[in-house]
This record gives sequence, structure tokens and C-alpha cells, in this order.
Amino acid sequence: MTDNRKDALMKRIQMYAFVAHECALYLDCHPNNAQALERHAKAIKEMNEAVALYEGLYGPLTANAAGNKDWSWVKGAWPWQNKED
Amino acid sequence: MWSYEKKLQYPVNIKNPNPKLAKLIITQYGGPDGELGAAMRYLSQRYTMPYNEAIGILTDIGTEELAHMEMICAIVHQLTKGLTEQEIIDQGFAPYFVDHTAGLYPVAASGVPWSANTFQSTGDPIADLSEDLAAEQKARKTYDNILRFTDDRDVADPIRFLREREIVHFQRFGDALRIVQDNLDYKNFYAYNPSFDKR
Repeated sequence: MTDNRKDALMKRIQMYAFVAHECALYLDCHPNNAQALERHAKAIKEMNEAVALYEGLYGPLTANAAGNKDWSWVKGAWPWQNKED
Repeated sequence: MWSYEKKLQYPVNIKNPNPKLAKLIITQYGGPDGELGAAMRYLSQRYTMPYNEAIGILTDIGTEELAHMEMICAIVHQLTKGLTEQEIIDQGFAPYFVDHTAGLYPVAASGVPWSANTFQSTGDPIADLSEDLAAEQKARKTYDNILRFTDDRDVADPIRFLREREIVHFQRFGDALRIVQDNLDYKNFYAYNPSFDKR
């Protein structure tokens, strides 16, 4: 069963995480670049918002976010599994 | 995917260099029962592990092994800092030094480079988890042997932490094996391979 909203939200997380990562690589060797710093901060903010939304609806992305009422870390599919699995 | 945290799992602060000891401890980086092999073993096996709890254990222990590899590298790095050429010769570090200077390269204590031949990923959950149990004991054994030659408390302290983790991992792999067996035919655990055979 595919969930379009879930896929869209995950794509959003992947997109902003990738932007943040690209900025981080650039910043490693250009740590004072104001434009890259700004883009990095913006991407992190967008990513964190999307992660909070995703985790609230579909479960944790890291083990640290897993333990509320139950240990949801071992619930649901792992990222390398096909949707049909 | 992974992200890096700028911290060690347990602190490593060694005051006195000791390349002779570094040559032994580096085996837990690139040796047959080392942390690199452990991480690769568990992180390779998880794709065909059939049950969520066991996948979780392989993922989380495999990830912890990467952190242990970093601790071992930190120990070796601190033990080989600021050496004189005389110390390098006197302490038997010259054969490593001539190839790697003080760089970190995954080798066994014997000097044999790290190899994927040191582990298996069988696609059979009982075989994989049984190997993992043995692997934790073999790593515990190596730490016990390292401690025989370690009289520096700065080194022994993090090595003891790593040794203890092997015992905890052994317990958790035991739990995982039990969960796998509980999912199988209790009259014959080997009746079929749950990660391959259709049922």
C-alpha cells in the first residue's frame, strides 16, 4: 500500500537534508561564506519541520526519537525494503 | 543513512605514547575480530534478516561498532603521537611506520591488512546470528589479551569499556536468535530459511 503523503513528506526531508549536506561540504572548506551559511540554516529549519511532521505521523527516523509509549523503532518497514514486502 | 556525531562513545585521553602497545591494539581496528569487521558483518547481514527486532539489533550494534572503531583509532593515534625515530626503532614500530608513518591503516597485530574474509553474511538468519555470537566472544577474547599487556590506566579504561560492550552485544544477539527461533517451526528450526524460502 502506498501513501502519497508519506512519500511526499519523505521526499521533502531527503531534499532539505541533501541541501543542508551540500552546504556543509562547501562550508567545510569555506567556513565564512555567508550565503552558504544562510542556505544551510534555512535547509536545516525546513528539514527539522518536515522531520517533526513525518515522525508524528509515521514513526521515528532515528532511534533517539523512538521511545515514547512503546519502542516504535522496530515497527514498520526498513528503508531498503520494497513497498510490497 | 548515517550522520556523524563529533564525540567518542567513551572518552580516550592517553598521556604517554606507547607504539609497542599501539601495534597490538590496532588489531581491533583491522584484525580478524576487530571493530571494522564487526561493523561490516552486522551492517551486511541486516538486509536479509527476516524479523524487525533482529534487524534493529543488527542496525544498532553495527552502528555502535563504527563508534568503537573510532575509539580504537583514537587510542592508536594517541599512542603513536610525537615519537622520535629512536622510539620507533626501539619499540618495534618501524615496519608499520615505513608504510604508514603514524597514519591509521586497518591491519591485524600481525601486520596482515583487513579483509572481508574475516566474516560471513550467509543469508541464513540462524547461521548469521550464531556467527555474531561467536564474533562478540572473539572480540572479548582479544580485549582480554590486550589487557594482559596494558599497564597504563589511560589505555586500560577505554579498553575495558569496549570489552564490556562485547558481552552486552553477545547477550543481545542471544535475544535476537531466540526471537528468530520463536518465529520458526519449534520441531525443526532448519525446516526452511525464512529469509529465502516461500511459505
